Amino acid sequence: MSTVDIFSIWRQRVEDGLSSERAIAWLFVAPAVILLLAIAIYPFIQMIYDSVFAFSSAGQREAFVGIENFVRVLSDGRFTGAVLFTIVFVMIVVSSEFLLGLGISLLIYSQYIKRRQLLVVLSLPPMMLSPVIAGLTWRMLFNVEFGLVNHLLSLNIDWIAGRPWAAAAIVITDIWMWTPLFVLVFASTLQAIPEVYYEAAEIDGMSAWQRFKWITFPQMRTAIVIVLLLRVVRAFKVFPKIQVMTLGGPGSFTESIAMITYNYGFSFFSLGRASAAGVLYWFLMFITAFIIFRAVAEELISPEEY
Amino acid sequence: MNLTNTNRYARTLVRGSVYALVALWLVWIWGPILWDLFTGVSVNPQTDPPTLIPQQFTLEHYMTVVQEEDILIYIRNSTVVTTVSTALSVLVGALAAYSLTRYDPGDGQISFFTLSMRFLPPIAVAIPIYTMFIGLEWINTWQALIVAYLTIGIPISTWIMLIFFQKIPEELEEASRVDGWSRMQTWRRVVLPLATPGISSAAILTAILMWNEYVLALVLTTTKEAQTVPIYLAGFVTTRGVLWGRMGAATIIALTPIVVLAFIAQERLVAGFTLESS
Amino acid sequence: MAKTELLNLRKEYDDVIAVDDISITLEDGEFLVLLGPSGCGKSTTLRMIAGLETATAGDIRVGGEVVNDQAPAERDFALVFQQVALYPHMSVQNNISSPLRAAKLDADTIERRVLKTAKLLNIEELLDRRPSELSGGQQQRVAIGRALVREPRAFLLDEPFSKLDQKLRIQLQKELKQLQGEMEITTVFVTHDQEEAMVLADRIAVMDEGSLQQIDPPENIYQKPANKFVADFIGNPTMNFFDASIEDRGLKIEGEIYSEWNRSVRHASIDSMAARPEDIVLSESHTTESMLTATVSLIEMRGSTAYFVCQFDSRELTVLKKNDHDDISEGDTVALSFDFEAVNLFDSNGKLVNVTESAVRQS
Repeated sequence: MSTVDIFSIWRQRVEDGLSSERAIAWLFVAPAVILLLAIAIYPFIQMIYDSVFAFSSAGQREAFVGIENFVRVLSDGRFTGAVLFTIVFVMIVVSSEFLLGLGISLLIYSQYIKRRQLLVVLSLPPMMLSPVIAGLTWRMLFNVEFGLVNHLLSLNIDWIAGRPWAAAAIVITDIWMWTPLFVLVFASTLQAIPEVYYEAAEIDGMSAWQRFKWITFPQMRTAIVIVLLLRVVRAFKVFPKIQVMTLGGPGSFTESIAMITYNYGFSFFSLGRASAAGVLYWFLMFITAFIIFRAVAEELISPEEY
Repeated sequence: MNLTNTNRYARTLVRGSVYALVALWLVWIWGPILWDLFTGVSVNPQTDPPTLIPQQFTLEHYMTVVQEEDILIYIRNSTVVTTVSTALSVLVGALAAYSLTRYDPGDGQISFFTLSMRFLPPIAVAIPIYTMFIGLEWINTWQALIVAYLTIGIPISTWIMLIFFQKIPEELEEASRVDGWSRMQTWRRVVLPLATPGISSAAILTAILMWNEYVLALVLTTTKEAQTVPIYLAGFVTTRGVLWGRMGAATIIALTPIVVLAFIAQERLVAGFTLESS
Repeated sequence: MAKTELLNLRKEYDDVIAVDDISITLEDGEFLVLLGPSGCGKSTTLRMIAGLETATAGDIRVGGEVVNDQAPAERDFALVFQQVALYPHMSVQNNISSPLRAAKLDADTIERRVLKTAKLLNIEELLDRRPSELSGGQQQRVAIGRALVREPRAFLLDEPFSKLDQKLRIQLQKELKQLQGEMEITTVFVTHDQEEAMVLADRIAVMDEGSLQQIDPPENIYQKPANKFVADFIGNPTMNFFDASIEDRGLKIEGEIYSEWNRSVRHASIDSMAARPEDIVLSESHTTESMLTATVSLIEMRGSTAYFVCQFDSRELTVLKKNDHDDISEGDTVALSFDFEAVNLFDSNGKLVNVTESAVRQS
């Protein structure tokens, strides 16, 4: 048999195999799955593995130490401080953005405003920036001497180095950045609500609050849950802003979990602790996501009666 | 929504406050951005009391940033990494999404898997990846970032395109096959054109995320030759002082690609963000 | 109950005049139908009555009081929409009770009234369901329930049955008419379906291009249409039109003199005559008299009735009757004769010309 024949037979076989739908289906998802496994899952498992070892400061693996890394990390006040800070941060930030975003989107979709689409688009820039840019910009605005914030409010607060104030500055920056996301999501949900429901509500004599409670809000429920989930997960990862605004300071007051994990790895060169911190970090995120996810499932399965 | 309020006076009052609040909102959104803009062209950005419009204009900062600090190198790096990684992500994501909507291999588990990748904190992945890449001698290379960024890009593109592909009715493809077109041709003639808006939305969204990415770049690159724009910008924070003028200029330069992108594709962008949450 | 009046109501959108000078007085407990083709302004008028649109000019008065500025709920009018406007996230029970809950009535009263209304409409078993689980007909019943539970001053409906199938529509029409009669609620019903109007209305207000053409009980609309538009719009199958004029010798139709005309006309310029299918008689054309002739092109069976479609000039006529002793089939040439008691004459403006009795003999 000549090479050509073999080749054509082989090609025939491949084509036959390929014409199987299942084969194609798997073939198409293969790159995504393989890549993710290689670049995300594998390192992640590696990290879990690493977390039970001690490392030299040069990154060489040394001895198996069991849960010692975890113990060290968990008993580190700096770490627990970071956890606390991150959790409080997420709670404050997400709820503020939610309320503000809801309010703004309701305003835009009230009867008084015409160019709604335009307003929504105009509200988007903050979330398209790098957190680094947002952080730098607001750092400038929060500057003690030359910052606009102190000037407008006639204050003299050191936003970057003051104990509660640094946190406030970061919170405000984050709110500035991410409220537009809520506005966007809520706006598109509001837009989808048929006008006819509101007309019926007018006929029925509902007040504005009743309209919101019985018509608007029920239609928004799914979107609300999803965007909350997204935002909480994202907020947990907060790092660049802080790095640029306060470097975790004053002291390590505004340090987030992501930051301390990074520092374990690249400031203290303790790969073991960094890995342990990473595992704990992921675990915390997972639990939170799980809790919220449960809340979602409940909402969707047995929606409330109005 | 119409008000049932019959009092004309109260109505105008409410109307006025709504306008005022919306205006306030827009000022709050755009103020800082404009401040950046003006800082970048001001001789002395730090004034007491702070003013928006500078007293003296200059392009000095822009020049410094470009010539002395080689912002262009960082832009080059960011561009390469973002473009390649976005392209790969979108390609891989499109294939996966298409397969998942039409055939669903793995019964929903794969979709779940892909989407749950977003819950992975980048830093938790960055550290082991760093170790991996040291072994491969990939630190400070473009491929390091390109590959690492796939962890961000693939989940997002897949998610967005899942939704888009769901919207394309299967009947169209079936009709095409019945007409005699092969699978490949169907893909090219029917699916691809219809999927283009989805692909662009995914691409834009992914590109923006990657352009702005900081953590992975921080971990995986240490030299100017490889570092990206966000790293460069973060470098403006020195021990105490910040070079505001240059920062303003650099920021605006860094923003330009995003602005251009957003301007070209406004609708796609909004659609993309909206889809992200649907 | 106080009387509701529309006085010179007018609605403009930019340069389009949607409703032009409508004045109607609603009688207590009457079932008024606003009838007209798409775009004639009937829905807009209804919405102005309801309060969802504000009039550009004119007044809406209830009991003498001008209510133009009042919100829909304040006027105490209920509206049933064309689309299903049931709140999707509420049960049927909560949907029906929503106006009562909005008014913050106490729970017992609400429950009592909802139950009562549900019984009236035969939807008690549906109370716990969601709108998405109901059929189209059931949904509209619930919508009607929501409107009636308030015991409103007036009951407004905007083509509520247009999306339902024929059989269901007829069923609901019957129920609605009965319900309305029992409750004696003043009702305004908008439709483009003239059969529906004829069935339901105490009075029909025919509208075209924003203005009121005629407002009368159905029989009058049918027998004495105020103008050619109304004559053409009402009646199924449609009216047949002929050129006509009055000459000394009598009524001249389509160039043939026809003076079996026993009524006289007062000093008006007649332009056309309209005859319903049932008012024209076909007979075999065998006389030498000058008569109007036509050719039968088709015999349509609708139910048990035979309609003769005839070619006349370049037009088609639809005729119902034939001389019983004549056997007419497709292709035959037939002679037309008219029941002059029933036909209508119109002047060159298209308006109905009044006729009185007097004797005109065959010449």
